[in-house]
Amino acid sequence: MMQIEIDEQKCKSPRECVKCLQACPEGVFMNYPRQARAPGKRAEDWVIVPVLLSLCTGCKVCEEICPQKAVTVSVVA
Amino acid sequence: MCEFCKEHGEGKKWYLQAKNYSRELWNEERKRFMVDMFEKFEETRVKNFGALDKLMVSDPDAVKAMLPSRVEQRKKEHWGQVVPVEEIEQILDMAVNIIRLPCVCRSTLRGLYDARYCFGVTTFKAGWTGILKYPDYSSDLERLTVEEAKNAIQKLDHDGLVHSVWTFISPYIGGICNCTATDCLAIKARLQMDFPVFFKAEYVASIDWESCNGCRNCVKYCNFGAISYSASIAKCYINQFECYGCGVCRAACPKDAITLRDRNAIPVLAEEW
Repeated sequence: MMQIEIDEQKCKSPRECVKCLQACPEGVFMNYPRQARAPGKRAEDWVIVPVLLSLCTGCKVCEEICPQKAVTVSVVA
Repeated sequence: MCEFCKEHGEGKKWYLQAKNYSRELWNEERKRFMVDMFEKFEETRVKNFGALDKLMVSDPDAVKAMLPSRVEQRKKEHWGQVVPVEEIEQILDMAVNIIRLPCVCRSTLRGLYDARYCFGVTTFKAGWTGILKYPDYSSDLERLTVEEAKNAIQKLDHDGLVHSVWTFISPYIGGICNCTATDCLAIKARLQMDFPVFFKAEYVASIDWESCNGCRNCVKYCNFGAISYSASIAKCYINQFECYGCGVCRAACPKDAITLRDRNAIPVLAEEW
């Protein structure tokens, strides 16, 4: 089983960058707005989270592609 | 035929019945359901997929036990079916209102916020306007004529995208999706999470063996990994259990060797949805 940590301090523009989201062969990541959209408002405060961890193979493409070095993939027992 | 054809189509294809697009079904409950779904889409998907993924690891038996009732619930709310391009065109012919909007799956899964692959279709002058109050969506809503929509669908078909119809509280059909397995949460749920949220098409693809020149274009186009190639015979084969009947492989074949057959006419596949 894999574990993926994203350092939010380093991941500065989760809505715009999305490199890890797009590069992941298994589609493990999703992004969502923590401040939900309401009538008349755009969704704000986006964050990228590893959701489908059981699909992660540990290939580390996300680690390698992250320009901020914000992603860490590790094996957990 | 699939159970929706029996239940909502009187034994004919349920997605070709005007009544399943009718204004009579477009009630307050459905409007609320659609608006809620789009307002909270990403958040809900993160939560639900995340919970299912965790449970699949920690307690697979629990997943197996709860799956049937969850699937039945989905059938009542937001269910889909793969539909080949010529029948999508028949649906568009019934439409009065067609809008194209950014795909919420591609946004959630790939960070593509303006991937306009989804079509909202109504046979009356309303519907879909509920989501106009959300700027994320309304800025990208386009109105299309039937001709424009057909041209767009044909292009998507040639690009190898799988077409499907979707209900917003069944049997009301409100949308047409155009997907690839890599970017679609519905296909992902079915193929990778064993959680079906749509039926296969009423068809299954078949290759005319004499005409196949073994070019393997169809293999590249298949989103379901249903086509294999024999290097020794230099022909392609369709695994009929893996085939979803979307028919996009037809556009890829330079020999026009692939046709769709009625799934119901093939004994073992008639119950394979």
